[in-house]
Amino acid sequence: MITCMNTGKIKWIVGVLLIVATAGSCKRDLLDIYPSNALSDLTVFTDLQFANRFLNNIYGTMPNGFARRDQNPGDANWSRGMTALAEATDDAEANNLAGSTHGLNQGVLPTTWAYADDFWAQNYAVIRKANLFMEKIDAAPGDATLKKRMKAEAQFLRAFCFQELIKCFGGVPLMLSAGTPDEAIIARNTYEECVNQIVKDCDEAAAALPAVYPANELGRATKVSALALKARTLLYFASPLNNTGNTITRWQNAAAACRAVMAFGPPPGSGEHGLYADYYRLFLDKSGNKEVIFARKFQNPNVNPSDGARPKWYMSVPGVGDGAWGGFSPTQNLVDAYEMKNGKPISDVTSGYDSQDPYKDRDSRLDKSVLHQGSKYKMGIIIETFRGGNTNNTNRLDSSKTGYGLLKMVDTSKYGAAGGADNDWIFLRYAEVLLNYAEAQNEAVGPDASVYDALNQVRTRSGQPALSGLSQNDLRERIRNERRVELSFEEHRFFDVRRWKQGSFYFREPIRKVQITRNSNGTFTYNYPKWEDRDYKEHQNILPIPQSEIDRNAKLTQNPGY
Amino acid sequence: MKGLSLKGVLAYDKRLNYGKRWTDNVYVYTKNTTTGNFDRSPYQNPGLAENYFQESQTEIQGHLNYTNKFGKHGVSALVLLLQQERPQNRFNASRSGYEFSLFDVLSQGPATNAAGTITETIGGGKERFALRSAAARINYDYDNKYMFQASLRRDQSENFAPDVRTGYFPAFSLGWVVSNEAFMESTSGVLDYLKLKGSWGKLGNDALGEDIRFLYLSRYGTVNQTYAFGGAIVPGLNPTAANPFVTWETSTKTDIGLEARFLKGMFGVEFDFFNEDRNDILATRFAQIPASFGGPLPAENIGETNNRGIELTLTHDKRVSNSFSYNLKGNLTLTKNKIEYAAEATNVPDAFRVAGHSIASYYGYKAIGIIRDSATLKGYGKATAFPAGLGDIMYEDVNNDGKIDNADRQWLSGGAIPEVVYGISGGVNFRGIELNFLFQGATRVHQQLTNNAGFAFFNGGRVTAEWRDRWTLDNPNGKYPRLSTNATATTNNYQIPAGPAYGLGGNSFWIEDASYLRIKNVEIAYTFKPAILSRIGASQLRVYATGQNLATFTKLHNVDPENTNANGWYYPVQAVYNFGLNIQF
Repeated sequence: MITCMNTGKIKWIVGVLLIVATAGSCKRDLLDIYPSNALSDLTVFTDLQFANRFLNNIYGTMPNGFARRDQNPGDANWSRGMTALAEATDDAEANNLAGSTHGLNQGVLPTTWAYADDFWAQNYAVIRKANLFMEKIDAAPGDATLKKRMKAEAQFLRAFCFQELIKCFGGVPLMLSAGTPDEAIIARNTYEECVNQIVKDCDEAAAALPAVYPANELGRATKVSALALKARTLLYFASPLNNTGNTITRWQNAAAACRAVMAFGPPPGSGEHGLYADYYRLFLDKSGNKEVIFARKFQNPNVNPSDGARPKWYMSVPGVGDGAWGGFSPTQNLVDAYEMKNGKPISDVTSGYDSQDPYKDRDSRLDKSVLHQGSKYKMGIIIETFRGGNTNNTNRLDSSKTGYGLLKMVDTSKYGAAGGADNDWIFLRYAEVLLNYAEAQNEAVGPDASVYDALNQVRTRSGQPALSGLSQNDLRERIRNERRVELSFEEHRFFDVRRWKQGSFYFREPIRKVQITRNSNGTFTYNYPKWEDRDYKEHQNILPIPQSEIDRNAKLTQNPGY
Repeated sequence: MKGLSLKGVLAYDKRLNYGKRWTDNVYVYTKNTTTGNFDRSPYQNPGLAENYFQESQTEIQGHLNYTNKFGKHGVSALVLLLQQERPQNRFNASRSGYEFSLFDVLSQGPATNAAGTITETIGGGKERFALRSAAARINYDYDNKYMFQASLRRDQSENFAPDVRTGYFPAFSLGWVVSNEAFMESTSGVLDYLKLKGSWGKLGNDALGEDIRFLYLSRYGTVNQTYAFGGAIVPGLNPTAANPFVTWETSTKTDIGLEARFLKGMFGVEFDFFNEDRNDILATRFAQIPASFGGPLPAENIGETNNRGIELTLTHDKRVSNSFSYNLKGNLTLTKNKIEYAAEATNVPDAFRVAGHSIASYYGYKAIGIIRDSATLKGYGKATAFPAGLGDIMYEDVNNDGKIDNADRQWLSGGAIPEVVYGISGGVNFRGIELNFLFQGATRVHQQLTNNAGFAFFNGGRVTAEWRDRWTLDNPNGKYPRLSTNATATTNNYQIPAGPAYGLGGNSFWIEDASYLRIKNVEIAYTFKPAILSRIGASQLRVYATGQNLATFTKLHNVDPENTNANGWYYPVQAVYNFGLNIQF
């Protein structure tokens, strides 16, 4: 330390120097300090490389069906993946009876339902980021074509999240800019206004996005992603829940939007998309899978749902040891919905169904979706669901509630903590578009050849015989059942039953399970007792706006019935 | 110029910190009972961690000082400038699984384990801190009767955006020594000294905490692994909460008081009234901004609190004779703090609002008694999340809707910060025998007992004595509810009756009056007379016995009234006794 304090000239010189220095004459202020672990937004949008990293992060923020949050309140991320939305339908049951899906199954849907909270908050988080990106990217220097594509990707992601929101809640506030906190206090837009915005976003994004990317960019939103999202949005808009006057033009618009996607399908389409040959591998194959139109990508080791969400659903099979919780139990109700191989429903007395040999000669998708007595699972283990079998130990809480386990979307070639599965969560796939088309066209013009063609493409892939010659009403029922089976566990059933306004029928039906006894001679006796009663109320076709949102935004109105 | 001085300081400090931890193998020999030999433990592969930190601080100060006296007028002034810069950087690395104990050098260790997984760690970082401050002060006094001081601080903080970085903080004080006035001469036999004083000042706080240091910047944090395209993991940038307007939190304090001494110091009085307003307290408007905003919420300068009170000290000092004197001192502080504004949700029930209540108040459900008989149970008839039966606590149904839920939460009582604190100390000295003591106490204070301090069998624990007077069929008028081995969140008595888990004990039954009076310190001593000491060659000899925390008078159960962790998990206050001898030669 140097201290100058004496008489004479020195003290003046030093003093004046110090005061001048202290007053600050440098160009860059000493107090302008920048963080060493973060970039400022000025920097991010000076280089498309940085902007691209922000865009990557928006994709990475997309909520997905593998990691839905089960518990309220606050930051309950530990509960991600504990239950699945399919468990709030007649297709499956949560092992955890304290899970938030179970309450809904009993007809209780509080305004603090964890799923609703999460759908709301997570989708709006993506929307804000997308808005921010779209506002800033134009001013960034760089390749104009690339900028246009990146902006369209963000626009698609915004539209996707708005569609997720409106299928849950009906009309929601259309946040179209990344404003200040106070600017978030706005009223809800109508369902129709939201649909129009989503369609507009989809059209603009589709115009700027390529139909395919080079292999190293696989996973980005494409033109077809935007068109398929538009088709789904218009189908929902035309559905009974949202189309009380049954305006036929809405069905026509939906069918036309589906056709725009099918133009990228197999010939006569341009061939970018199509059905994947094997229904089981379809959910695991991540490269060159033409059926996938848009997916939430995962990649080991570190891009995966939080908290190892996935294994919570895996059937708990002694010896497999992959962290399974056995949380996911498909119901007998769903199993019964699979047709026989000959195309007849099992309720048909001529179908050949044998309740004492129930898995024989069934739609091949049953074996590829649901683990049952005799299924081959990871490490070659054969599933035994009979009393005393390897997956039916009544002393274990993680035993299946229904006698069934999940196989669809479960990669049996991967097990153990180190080599866990990293297959994608598929948001949009070609088979859905075909089924969307069949449904819309059947409503718009009735069962014409194109309806059968679309429906039968899906059926043929899995070896089910083609349908023909049905009435509009009968075909509607077959299309609905086809959706249930083909799109099982992919978060469609929850919303499909609601938009068809069929909840009081399907979601009030008691849930049945299978109970298998091994006889002394090695044969099995099958029983199908009731597992639980269910309840449903019509107003639950739309979810409640989270109470915390009502509390914080006086301009929001709650949905009726809550 | 007479009285003017100037001082400059340039200081440079360099700090270096190097740490090294070598975890070496140590063989442990254990006697084998079957062979009788000593078995050696297996070799533990050593590990090495090193870290390095350096910081250099440059500080420049300029002082300009002026002091002078013109007759009865005293004047002084000070100008101070200060600037400091403090860059630092750090580096750390570690490796483990060393094959031998020979080389405690990083480069000799393996980067991975046997399975090929990377086990080495490398970290590093850099930071820079800076501050700049200027202050000016003027003092004036006249004839030791009137004093005046004015000051102004200009502080600039690195934590705020350039346009709101600078804060100006003025302060004034006035003093009047009334007893020095000519017209007070007639009272001089009684009144030794009387001073009236008043002050007003404003201060700023920029200490936001490490995690929101760059709150004013729109930042994008780096995320190494954010997503996957084409089978490859890609990095990301994630926007964080920013508030470009974040600025100084201020505290404005007014103080009015007097000091007086009477009868040659036999009695003394000090009295102060103070009022402190804290404004622009940083808080997040979590309860006001909907999640549809979509981003993390930044802290904003919004909170307002007030704290006011009086401080009174009375002293009495009496020297009766050369061999007998005593003194007594009493002090009393009354304070009342209040949250003036907090960012609450618009539709919070009035009873549950925090604004208007003291800081750290208790909120929850109001217990209105115990269900002592089946008639009471029938009459209560409220729907609760956890079934309520005989011997359970009843809660007030604020909105009278027949059920106890979130809407029935309300302010219950002030918290663990006492509004009244007092102390009495004194001493007697008689012919070398001394007695000194200190009593300390507080009142208008509450504590909410939770966990082991309140709940029977909590977390596998035991039951505290007061539960003997609990409700049973034979003791329907017991003070406590029925005893249950279930001390978890799913009981009516511990958990709030409905809604999200706000924590155990969210009801007023477990709030107790934490007033206390404690004998904090007592000392008895004897100092021997010099005449006796000279014979043994000592100059001073004193024997003494002291005791601390000798007794506490309180109604609070199970926990110490001075602790603020009312779940029973703290190191208790101890009574301490000392006996001593002090000799000087």
